[in-house]
Amino acid sequence: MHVLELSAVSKAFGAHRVLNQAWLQVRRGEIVGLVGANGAGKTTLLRISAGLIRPDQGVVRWDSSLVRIRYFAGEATLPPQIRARRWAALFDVPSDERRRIGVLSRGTRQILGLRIALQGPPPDVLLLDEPWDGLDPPAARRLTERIRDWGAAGTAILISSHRLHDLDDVAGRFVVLEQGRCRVVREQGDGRVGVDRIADLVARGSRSNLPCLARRP
Amino acid sequence: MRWLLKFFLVSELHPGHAVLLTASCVVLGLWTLRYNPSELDSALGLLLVLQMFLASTGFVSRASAGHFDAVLVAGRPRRSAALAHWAVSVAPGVAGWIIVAVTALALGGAHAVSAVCGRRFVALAIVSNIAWIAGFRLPRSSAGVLWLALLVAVLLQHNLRALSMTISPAFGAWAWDILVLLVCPFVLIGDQPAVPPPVLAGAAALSCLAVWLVVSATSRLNVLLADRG
Repeated sequence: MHVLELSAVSKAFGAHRVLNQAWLQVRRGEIVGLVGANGAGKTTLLRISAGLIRPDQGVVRWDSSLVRIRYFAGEATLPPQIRARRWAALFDVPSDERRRIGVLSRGTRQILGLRIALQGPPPDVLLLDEPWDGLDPPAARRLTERIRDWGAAGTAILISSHRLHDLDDVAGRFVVLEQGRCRVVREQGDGRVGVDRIADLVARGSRSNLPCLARRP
Repeated sequence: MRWLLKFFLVSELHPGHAVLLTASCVVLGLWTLRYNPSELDSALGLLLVLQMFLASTGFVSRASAGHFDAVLVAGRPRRSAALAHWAVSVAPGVAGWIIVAVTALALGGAHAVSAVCGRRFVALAIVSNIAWIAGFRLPRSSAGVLWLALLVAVLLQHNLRALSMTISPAFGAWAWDILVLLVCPFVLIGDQPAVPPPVLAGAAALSCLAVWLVVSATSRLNVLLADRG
């Protein structure tokens, strides 16, 4: 049973086509890792999955009986002018932090956003964009455990991240976003495709050909 | 709906200095009324100008920063979210207006009644609605700046008085009269010619209809992140 299903989804911003007939399904209790080069369209795909952006073509379906969706797009999307404690209280998350969100460290902001996104009972769909960014190892470990727990509890989880080892710890299926299309590179339980192979596939689609980033001979 | 109102209140659609400025205008208005109750329009006019900026809170600019993701994801009632955003956006100006108007009523000002349920209140409704709508896709307070520039341009051409003089039963061109009220609701305060009730009702209803259309359109709104693809 697919909780989230994207069928032939296309999206363009001006002349730049970000998604081109992308297909993706996430089943109940499944954790899917979404990887791709910078600018591949991962955030756009997540926002379409969250219903925040309408695709130009194609259809996004959510299981009509399950519509509780949580989405966290990273610490940069938290309002900087609000006091952290006040913002957390809005979502029934206790916090002792009295300072404004904008003056907190990146990691602290990320933890605050994740605590809000991951509080309460598990939702039906969880969408996370670079969730391990800026976290110290203990916080990253706690996040990994929470994602695993919610997957086991039946939440359909789609995570975009460049941190492939962290993603590998939780995700069974891996999808590479390349030239606007989703390509499943590892199915659940397929141990043959390791993180290194996935990293190679991502690098193949990378557009980071800046001389300063080029590998020295 | 209650949680949505709380969400937008906590989101600080109005910065602290704007709230402080509103409070100052209310105090100034009350001070004016205390010494000269007939100066109600001076107090209300100040609040009306302020409301042009206050109600223009900018929905899309904040949504594009991802601040409203929690209330705009699929499964959440977007129309309710937009309606709550409108309510919180216009609230400080409306609250200040009510305080001044009710005080004027208590002091026995005869024309204060229209500030609560008459043509002066229609002026507040139009300014609140049009500023919110015009600012929907713009950064905070931008609609106020643009609207004020338009009014100054009209004033410089000495057309404001001419505009206000066109509103009378003798003209009968209600569509034009309604347009004049929507562009320059300030003609509804002060000693201006009487405005026919259908024109008043028409202008108020049109501004409310425009709000509803914008609220409805949020269900089709693409919430793109400003700095990410």
